[in-house]
Amino acid sequence: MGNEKKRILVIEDNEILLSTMQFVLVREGYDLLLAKSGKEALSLVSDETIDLVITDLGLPFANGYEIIDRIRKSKTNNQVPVIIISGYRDDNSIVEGFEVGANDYIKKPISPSELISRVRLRIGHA
Amino acid sequence: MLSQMEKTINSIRSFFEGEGWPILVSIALVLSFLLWIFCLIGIALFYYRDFRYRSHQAKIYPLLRDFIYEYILIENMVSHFPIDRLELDLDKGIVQKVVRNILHEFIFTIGGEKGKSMRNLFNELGFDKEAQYEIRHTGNHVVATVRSLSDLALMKVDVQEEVIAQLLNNSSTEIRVSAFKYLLQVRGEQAFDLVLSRLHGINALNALDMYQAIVSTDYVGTYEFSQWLDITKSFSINCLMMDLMVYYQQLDEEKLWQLITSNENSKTLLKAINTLGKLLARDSEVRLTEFYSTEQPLNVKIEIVKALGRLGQGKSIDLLEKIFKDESSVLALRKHVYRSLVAQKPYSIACLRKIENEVDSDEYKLIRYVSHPMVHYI
Repeated sequence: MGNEKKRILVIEDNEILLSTMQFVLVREGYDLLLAKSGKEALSLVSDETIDLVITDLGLPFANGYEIIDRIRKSKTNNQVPVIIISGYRDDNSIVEGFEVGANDYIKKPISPSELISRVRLRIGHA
Repeated sequence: MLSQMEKTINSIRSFFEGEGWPILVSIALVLSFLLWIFCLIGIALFYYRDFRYRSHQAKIYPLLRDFIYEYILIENMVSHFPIDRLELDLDKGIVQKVVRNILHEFIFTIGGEKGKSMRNLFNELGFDKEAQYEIRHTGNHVVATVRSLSDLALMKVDVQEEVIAQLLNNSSTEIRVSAFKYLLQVRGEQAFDLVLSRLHGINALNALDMYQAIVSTDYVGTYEFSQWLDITKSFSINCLMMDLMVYYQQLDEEKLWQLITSNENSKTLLKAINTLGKLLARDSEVRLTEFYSTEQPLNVKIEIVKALGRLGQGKSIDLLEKIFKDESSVLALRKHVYRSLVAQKPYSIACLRKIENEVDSDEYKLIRYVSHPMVHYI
């Protein structure tokens, strides 16, 4: 059990950012679940055990805030740390993110090394 | 004269009574056939171009992505990339376009040190030189110049002062606005004086573009945007300055009142009142109350009432109460008055109680409507 990889759910509809995060995090040894829409993400949240969620805000079917809200209200995974990655740079978006239950907020464009540090801060090394 | 007209009418009539109609129908058929053909050719061309772009993108994207992952993310290369290994024919326009778009996406998505390396890769592929060449030689070719300036701004590449000066004096507003945006993105706050002093001729869309360019910089200083407010300037320029004042929370009541009292432009007047409200100019409460008059147009009255709701601290309660009780006031105005009274709690509690005790059934409906939590307040 102790050797199991930490599992991260990445929710992002931008192909380039999704594949870059996948590349960077898999290289660090994390196990990844990928979702390109809010709908996909919510079904994964209810079915899988997850250690961390990284989500964008502007997503098809359900936005990032709704996803975090649903995660916090779910029976499983309601304590999972959530990191928002978004292009919205205004204070309101950031504050709203924390209010719905996010643990961290990274503004786009992301720095891969910063992403790794923040992930490690939340769930430790893979 | 009359006989001439009769002759013309007769010849038209004989044309249609004879072979005229069949000829006309044939011409119409041929024209509609040609129109359909041109439409189909246009649609086919559009799909072909899209298909060509997508097929090139499908080939180039994995190559470029793997190249970036290998040399930038794994090997941490900063410059001198082995671009020959990409084996891309950058002389082809379509390949250039695809590579440029993919790299833009990567640069928009990945920042930090890796982002800088990506910018270097963009430059090493020759796009910076191409952009520099284009802004020097395309003259008034708007699309190419705007695209090149946006590329250079994204790469944070310095452009010579004389070229910038030339672009800032260009007759095309679009090119000038692109140069402004380039300066704001590359030089940030240092470009404010140069850019904001040359805004003449910009329209509302350009102003919005400039606003986005300024607020998306990391600037958080105390630059006085209000110094550029002027009654002689267009609404777009004054509106941009007022939006920036609101964004950076810089209140300059005197300048705003100059715009209000000059009454040069009704849109500027409304915007200035709105800005006073948004900036919570508490010292303007009495002045706004005095400025309110029944002679003013409805939209000015509403804007004053809304501003009083935002900035009021009890000194305008009497006026608001008077407007609400005046049954000749239109519903839209009374609605805003009530909202402003609610916003001025606790100063307005006594007045609100008095109103609630005196209202008739229609007024009660209005109050219920305004107080409903689903109705967005101001």
